[in-house]
Amino acid sequence: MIKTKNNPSFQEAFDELEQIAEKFEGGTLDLDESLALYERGLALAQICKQRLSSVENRVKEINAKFSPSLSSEEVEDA
Amino acid sequence: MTEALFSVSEFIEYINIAIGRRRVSVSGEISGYHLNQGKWAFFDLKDEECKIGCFALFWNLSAALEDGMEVVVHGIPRIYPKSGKFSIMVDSIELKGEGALRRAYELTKKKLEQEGLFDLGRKRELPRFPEKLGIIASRESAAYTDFMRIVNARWGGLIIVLVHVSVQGDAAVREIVRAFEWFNTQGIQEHVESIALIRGGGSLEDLQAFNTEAVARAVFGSRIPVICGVGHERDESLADYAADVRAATPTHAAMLMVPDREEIGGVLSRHSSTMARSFAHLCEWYTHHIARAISTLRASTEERLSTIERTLSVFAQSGERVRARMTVLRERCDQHAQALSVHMHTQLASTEQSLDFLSRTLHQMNPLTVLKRGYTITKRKNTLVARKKGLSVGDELTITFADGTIATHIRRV
Repeated sequence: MIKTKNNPSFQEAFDELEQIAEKFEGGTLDLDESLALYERGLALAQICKQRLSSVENRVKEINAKFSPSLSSEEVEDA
Repeated sequence: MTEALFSVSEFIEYINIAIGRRRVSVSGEISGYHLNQGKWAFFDLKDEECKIGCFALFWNLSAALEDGMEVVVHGIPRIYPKSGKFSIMVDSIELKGEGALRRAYELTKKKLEQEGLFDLGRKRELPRFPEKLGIIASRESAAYTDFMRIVNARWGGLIIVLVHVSVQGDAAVREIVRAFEWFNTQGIQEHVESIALIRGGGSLEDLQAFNTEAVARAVFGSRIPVICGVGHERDESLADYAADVRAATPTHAAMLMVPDREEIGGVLSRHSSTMARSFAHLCEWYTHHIARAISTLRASTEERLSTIERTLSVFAQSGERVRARMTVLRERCDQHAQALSVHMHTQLASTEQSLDFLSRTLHQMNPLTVLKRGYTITKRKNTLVARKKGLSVGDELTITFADGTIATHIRRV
């Protein structure tokens, strides 16, 4: 079971949904169990579909200095 | 004109000043290559006619060196005071020609392979659904543009942390190593889940940075899983071998690094319909079984009810019969009781009369009553004497009167 039930990451939601689908495929569920799992599965599928609809990716460029002078200093220290 | 007189130290200093600290580039073939204390590399650089000594800090050498390699060294020439030897203090070295590059590549590859840097057993999987990616690439490169195009086409909502580096030339190795250092300190804190090291294709010389020991070690040492997509398919850099996942091209790296929304959407729909179908099936199964159970229950209840009804009616009929029989018995009982009572009364009255008569008879028969009238009772040895016969003179007799008993002797018979 995932830790953050109300706000799972895509990975968590997807993994749990896969497990639920597997249980349904296995066909060993009783009615109570399957009703609860079915509701949970629908909610997870909804979370995943919402996440799929996000299109934008954000690029964050790191402006740290990777200048050769730093490297030289390190060599001299060594 | 008088010639200047120097001490040895002064002379060497004089010459070194005259040469100046001018950086030179000299091309030649390596010979007599050896390491000292694992820290200094010494070799001669020669052409057909001449040679010059060179030395360098080992870790300033970006490639594995070997005698016979054609190289260009960059550094500052000077006389080394202690030995008086003129040599070039090399700060960087470039391999020249395909042969040297190929040889350096093979040497480094063999060394790292033996150390286990390429072991398949240590390869880690990339996260299936990453949220934060790290990219080490040149922001101006086609490789980066291609990579981003594919990532954007496949998946959204990602944060992509780009560390821009030179991917060829002198600075490339240092910058790439630094970029890995950044990801493995700052990047880990920022939860970067995987790193792509990418560069477009090129000649062995172009890709030299990716074939250096330093870059291969940086890839190997990364705590965040690394996917390497360098060059076109025919090129396999040492960084590729050291990476957790090897992609043929930057585009391929993007495909391996992020999922495809179309494909995942399909999987989601499949899961949803599996659940729905299975749940409906389950409901149908339960409905069917409940209906069957109800009908079985109904049938069995009805049968049981009718049995009970039958039993009750039989019981009711028997009750009637028992009641009638009981009435008859009770009447008979009453009759008997009455007869008995009458009989008893009669019996009692007759008994009373008999008792009365007996009582009177007994009263008359009582010997005491007779004694009162003057009769006596004579006994010899406690035996009643009713006649004279058998008695003898001297026998002791007792004579009982109404008011007592006396003893006497027979005097005469």
